[in-house]
Amino acid sequence: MTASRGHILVVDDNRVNRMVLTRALHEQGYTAATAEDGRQALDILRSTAGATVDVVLLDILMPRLDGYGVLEQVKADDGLRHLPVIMISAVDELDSVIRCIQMGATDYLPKPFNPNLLRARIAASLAGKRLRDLELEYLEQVGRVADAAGAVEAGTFALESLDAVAERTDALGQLARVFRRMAREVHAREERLQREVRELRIEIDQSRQAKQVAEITESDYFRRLRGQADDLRRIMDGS
Amino acid sequence: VDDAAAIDHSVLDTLLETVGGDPGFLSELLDTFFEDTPAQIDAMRRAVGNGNADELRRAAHSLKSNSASFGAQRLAALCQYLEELAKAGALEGTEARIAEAETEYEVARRALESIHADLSAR
Repeated sequence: MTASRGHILVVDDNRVNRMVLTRALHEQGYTAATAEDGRQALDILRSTAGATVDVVLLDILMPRLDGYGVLEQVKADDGLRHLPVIMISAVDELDSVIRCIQMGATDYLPKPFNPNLLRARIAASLAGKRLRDLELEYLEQVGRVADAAGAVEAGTFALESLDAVAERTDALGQLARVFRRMAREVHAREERLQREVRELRIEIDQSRQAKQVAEITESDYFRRLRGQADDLRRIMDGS
Repeated sequence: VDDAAAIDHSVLDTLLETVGGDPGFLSELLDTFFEDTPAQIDAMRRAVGNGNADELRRAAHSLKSNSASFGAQRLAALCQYLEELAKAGALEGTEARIAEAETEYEVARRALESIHADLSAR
């Protein structure tokens, strides 16, 4: 089985239209889910299954919630607003289509369906969505590099936080790799400096102790004591 | 009324192409059309009886869509007219138009059943 080229949600209260579109989409290498009215469509889009939907084919005139209502709610939802929505319309419904495009619909597909037009409209919408997905991923990864800069300043940077970005083959990936390498070098230099500071402290302590010993041994009092000790040693030796 | 002229064969050809050239599937679609249309005509009558223009508009819209998909252009035109009347809230005289649509559906159905029989024989 070949991989699906995309997953399409067909929203239409008309059973024949749902059957035709589902079959036509399968013929063109897509998978399809169906909804019989606007409310069912929104339930699907807001469920976990909704995350797999790449394009919505949406009828306008439907019971319970019509195409305008669905479009309005999709565009008001941060998680759905970028999902391409192609309106399904009869040729005499151009005014409705214009209204939908003004509301944010991506395109429209006239009924009766033409397979070539269906192919072209779905492909164009999918290309737009994939570009948008790449853009979102790019922005998210730029955010990770920015967060990494903040983490370096705060001393909480973890090298693995940039692993995914560093795998990119573009300029952002190169930036992440360079950033990671520099952060690693800065970390290593910091550790070396800390080690040197510790060693210097030890040397300073030793030097201070030597100086204190010298200050004592070179004092007049110490010299007098040493002279008295020498005298005592001679007396005891009987010399 | 000429049964054969009730259907635009080029539209049916496009429909067949849309579903991957599978005559078996086109047969399934025709069965669905024959199954759903009487309910849609009933819904139109019920809507007029209840003075419900929105319901008439939806049922006429659905039958218009199906008729156009199967190349039943005269039926589609009648349904479009009913849809426009309902959209304008003008329900007067729609019963006669629904009766016309029902008659035209019978003509289209005969023509489509003949095509259906040919498809089943393939």
